[in-house]
Amino acid sequence: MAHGTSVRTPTGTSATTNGTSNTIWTIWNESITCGASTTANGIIWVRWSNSASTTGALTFTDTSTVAWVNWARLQERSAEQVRADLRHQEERRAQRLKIEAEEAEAKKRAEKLLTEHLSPPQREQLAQKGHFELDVISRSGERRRYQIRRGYAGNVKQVDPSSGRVLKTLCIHPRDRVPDADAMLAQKLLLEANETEFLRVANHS
Amino acid sequence: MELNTFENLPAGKGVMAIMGREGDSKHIWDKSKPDEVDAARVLFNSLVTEKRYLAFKVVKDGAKGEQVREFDPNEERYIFVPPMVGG
Repeated sequence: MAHGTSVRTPTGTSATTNGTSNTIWTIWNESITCGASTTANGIIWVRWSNSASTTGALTFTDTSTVAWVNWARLQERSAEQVRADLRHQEERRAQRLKIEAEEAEAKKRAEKLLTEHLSPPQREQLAQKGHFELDVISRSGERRRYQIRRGYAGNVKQVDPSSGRVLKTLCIHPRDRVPDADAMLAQKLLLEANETEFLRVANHS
Repeated sequence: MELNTFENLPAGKGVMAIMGREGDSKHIWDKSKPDEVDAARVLFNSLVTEKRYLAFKVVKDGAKGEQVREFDPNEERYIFVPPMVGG
């Protein structure tokens, strides 16, 4: 060590410097966990008081008020910053709770609108199995069965009426984001009213 | 006037449910009041013509709805769906 005098005990639990240079000391102290430490250097003191690597009591022996004022300011700023951080956290939490409440309300409204427009057997299916089915007579006269499962996209299946085997997956949904139950009702309404258009717009897989 | 549900719709009134991000919003009109009928017609046309929403006249309990392009003030229930796209 080129400047000052630094002593480190074999166990590294305490450290003392009499030196006027802070370079080696602050680097050393910040890289090695130290116990109780003493310094007369104000710059070192400020660094120590913010360093997580110092675990013991920090003693500052200088009689100058500069370091103390800086330290006091640092503490005040930190407390103020802590208060500001807490305020921001609370604001973010309140905002998050508000959004969650709005989403829950939207989901509830959509669920009600959907179930109002299902037949009793369809309501039962939805409650028990997470999907409902509808039969559509296509333009060619063929009877086709569709399952609308819970979801927003990729949730419509054409199924074999006798075996229930999935024949095709159809992906079609409202362009604008709506709750899932509204999307399911939209799919039902269009499929029943205009299967040709439904199949034209949907992606098939 | 806002209505929370299609159920218990007062006699002589019609209701439109317009799907949106926050669930559907409902618009109700009194069939006996010309100004309310006109306002409902303007809203219908705006949604269907300008915003390209799909309008379905519906009845409850799952009966098949019918897609419509003109407002009939004597109908009771409409549901408006945003344009549909393939996913």
